[in-house]
Amino acid sequence: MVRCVKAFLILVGMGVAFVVFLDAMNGHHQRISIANRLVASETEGSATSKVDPLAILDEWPEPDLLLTLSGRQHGYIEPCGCTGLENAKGGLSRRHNLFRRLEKGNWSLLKLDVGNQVRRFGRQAEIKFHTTIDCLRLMKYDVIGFGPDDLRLSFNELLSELANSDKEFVCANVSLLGINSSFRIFDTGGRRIGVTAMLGQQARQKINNSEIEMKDTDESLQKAVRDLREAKADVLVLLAHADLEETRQLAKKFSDFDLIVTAGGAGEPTLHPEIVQGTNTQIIQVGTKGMYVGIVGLYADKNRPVRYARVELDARFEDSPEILEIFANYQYQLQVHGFDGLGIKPVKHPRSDRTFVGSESCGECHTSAYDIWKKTPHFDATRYIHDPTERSEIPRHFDPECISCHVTGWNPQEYLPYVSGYESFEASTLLHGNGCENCHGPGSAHVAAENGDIDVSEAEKEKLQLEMRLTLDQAKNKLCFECHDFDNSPDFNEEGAFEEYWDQIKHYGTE
Amino acid sequence: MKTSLFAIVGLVLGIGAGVSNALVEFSGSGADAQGVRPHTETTKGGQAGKTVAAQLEIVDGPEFDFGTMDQGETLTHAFVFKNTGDGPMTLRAGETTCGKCTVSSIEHGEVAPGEEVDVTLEWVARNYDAEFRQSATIYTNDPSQETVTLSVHGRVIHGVRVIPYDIAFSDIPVGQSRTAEAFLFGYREPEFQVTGHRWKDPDTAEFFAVEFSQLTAEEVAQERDAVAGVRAAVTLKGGLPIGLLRQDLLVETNLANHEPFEIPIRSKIVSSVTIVGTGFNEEINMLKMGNIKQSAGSSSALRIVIKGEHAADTSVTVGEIDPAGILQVELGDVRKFNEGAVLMYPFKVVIPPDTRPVNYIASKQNPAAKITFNTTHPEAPELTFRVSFSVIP
Repeated sequence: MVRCVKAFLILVGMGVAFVVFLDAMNGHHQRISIANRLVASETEGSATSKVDPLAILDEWPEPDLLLTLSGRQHGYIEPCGCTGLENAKGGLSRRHNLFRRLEKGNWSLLKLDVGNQVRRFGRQAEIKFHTTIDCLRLMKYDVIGFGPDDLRLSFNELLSELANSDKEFVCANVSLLGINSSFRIFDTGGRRIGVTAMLGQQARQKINNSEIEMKDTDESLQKAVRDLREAKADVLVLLAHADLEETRQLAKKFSDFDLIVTAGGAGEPTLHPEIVQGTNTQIIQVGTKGMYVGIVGLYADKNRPVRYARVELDARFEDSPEILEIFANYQYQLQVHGFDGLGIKPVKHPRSDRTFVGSESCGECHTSAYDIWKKTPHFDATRYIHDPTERSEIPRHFDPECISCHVTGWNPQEYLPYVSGYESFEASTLLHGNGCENCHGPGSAHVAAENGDIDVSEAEKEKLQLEMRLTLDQAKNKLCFECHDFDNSPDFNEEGAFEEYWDQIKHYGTE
Repeated sequence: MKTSLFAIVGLVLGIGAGVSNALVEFSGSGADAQGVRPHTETTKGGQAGKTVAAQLEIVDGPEFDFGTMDQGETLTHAFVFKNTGDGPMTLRAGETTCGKCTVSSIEHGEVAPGEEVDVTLEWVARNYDAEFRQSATIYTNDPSQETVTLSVHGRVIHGVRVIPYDIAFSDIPVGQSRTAEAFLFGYREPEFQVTGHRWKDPDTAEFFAVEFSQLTAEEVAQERDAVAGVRAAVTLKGGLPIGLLRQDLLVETNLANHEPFEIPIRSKIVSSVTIVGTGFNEEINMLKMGNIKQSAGSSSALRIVIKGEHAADTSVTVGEIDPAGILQVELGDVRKFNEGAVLMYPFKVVIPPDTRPVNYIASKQNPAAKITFNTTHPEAPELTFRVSFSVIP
């Protein structure tokens, strides 16, 4: 009997101790394996050899509410896979899958975007803007701010997009015929979250669009704060499309904001929020080109009400089939518009008045160089975008932003054809591939002189030969990097990479 | 008494079990440290295992500001990793966020308690962006921070920068003129000046004008690190046709061995009654719907936008459709914005499923289809556009 009592008391003691301990842990350091729980159902069998990108959430207690923060997409709706998607970050498709995973958690989600979906001006940028907004709507974004490049687009296009909106476009100091909201309130996660947005001074200077009403920033934000307080918001968030310095000034002037999400800052978002001295406002950057999504957890804990992590959108996130479908439609729209519909007209080659003849003509004499070229990915560059093997096999040979580096006779950075450059897959078979003349210049006069089609002296013939000559320095310092740039070809920009790649394509002399 | 003692012992054991259980549960951060784990040592005499652990302190923090750098310059920074724990610390270089920054190979296999080691991050300022921020991941066996992220940032100084990079004239009404500014800032040469200019496209050069003026010292001071600056006030004159236009301003300066600086100028000229929407090309006034499968049919959602002094009084109705019976037009209800200053009529062009195969793809030989709206707008009583499409079996 006594033994039984002892044993019972021991068990009770152990049980009580364990419960007391876990209770204490729950109060201060409740940890739930968020990432593992999400991963288990999502990535089985997938190629996730690296650390799970959401692993950081394992270290967090379960939040009342998660905010996701994005912006400054700058037209990078998908990462270019020129030298392997493994190395490229960003893309709406991966972002969708990140949200899919977060949506499996037991918390509320608010999705906020600070704006600037596009970077360029013109028809393709307009189509891309509509495509991006379609994607953001699919992802159920709650608030979308404006960036300067959004507001430089045709007002009529913006109007047609906003007229379809469900009040997700927000800006306090910019008004598009009063259609966009100046703030929004969300009752979620046991909180009443108030969100407003603003366009900074530098960004406003980029806009020459007389139909867009620019309001005084201080007055607009004062009103927005007043409205949010009157609406009894208990967490105030500002999406600031402003540089860092202006954002810091906003934090000082408008101390009501708990969180300012800023488009300011360079490159990647910082690792931790910034707290401006003398304020309690946390400033969080979104980085550039949609490479990262910020995640903020909100807690009732007064000592630590906010936790932040930035998530890198790399190849660990798989593509979203729904987003790929929207991308396929984007490519179809580009096809239907055609180059003329996109406002794309051939421009004069900057170094030459000659015309393009195609690499096969070059190969008739320069047999050795041609044989080397044929064995490189440059030879197949057009086929890669016509019959892609990655990403749902969406052809991209109607997309000037892809064509410019995958054919012969285009300006790689301006996305424009040169006069006599590639026109279409069917009509320009001689200009398939990233051919000889992209580096050496259009070869019509040189070929005609060598073939005896024009009557030139030996001196003139030699001059034409010299025109085609390209030095290694010219290639190394500029030409190659026009396509193999930091965004699309990160591998190429590593130390020693040029030499390694050059070794694969090098050819000298006239053979 | 003995019973109480057992209970206390039980309580202690319970706490121990709880703690132990909790430690097992809570020790993982979720980050795969790939074999970099705390050391467990067994003391002499075979007593219970004692865990000793490395503890990492990054002496001056995980972020470093390179300040300003010249383009092409290479800078390095050594982050000092100190082991303040009681077990040996192991480090392994992980990913960097770009191909532009490199982490020195971490040569020391282990860092003993109390010792320090440098982890060096190198940045080559070959970027075209003025500002940069990049990071690198280091894996450690410190159980409290199995991954740490080092970050460097700074600003690449170019000789001259144009701000903003380009000028966009958005939705300029036909016939109207507009002026916008760009600024050329010099960061090296205090005597930086503009010496001339030309327009890249001579065909439309007559529609543009530019005036340059040297910035005052006060204006130059607004741009960080700038030592001189020039304002370029670009005017788009009236008279350009409806549609998009590209022009580039080439600015010559007194900088030696420097090509002219290029300021892209983009503009869109629009009329007061405009059709917008996917597939519509204002320049050629045509809706392109492409090849449509007979079984699927197709539709395009568009809008008529009416602005200007007559907008408020304008109404729109569907007029002639050619070919009738193949194309259908569904005109929606008008929406008024800004107290009627802007009107928007949504409409759909529909080619229903099972429409017979036809070819209206626009070409010299083949006319496109045609849709006309009747309006009460005095300047545009008829709004006609072409539709290029074919229905294929």
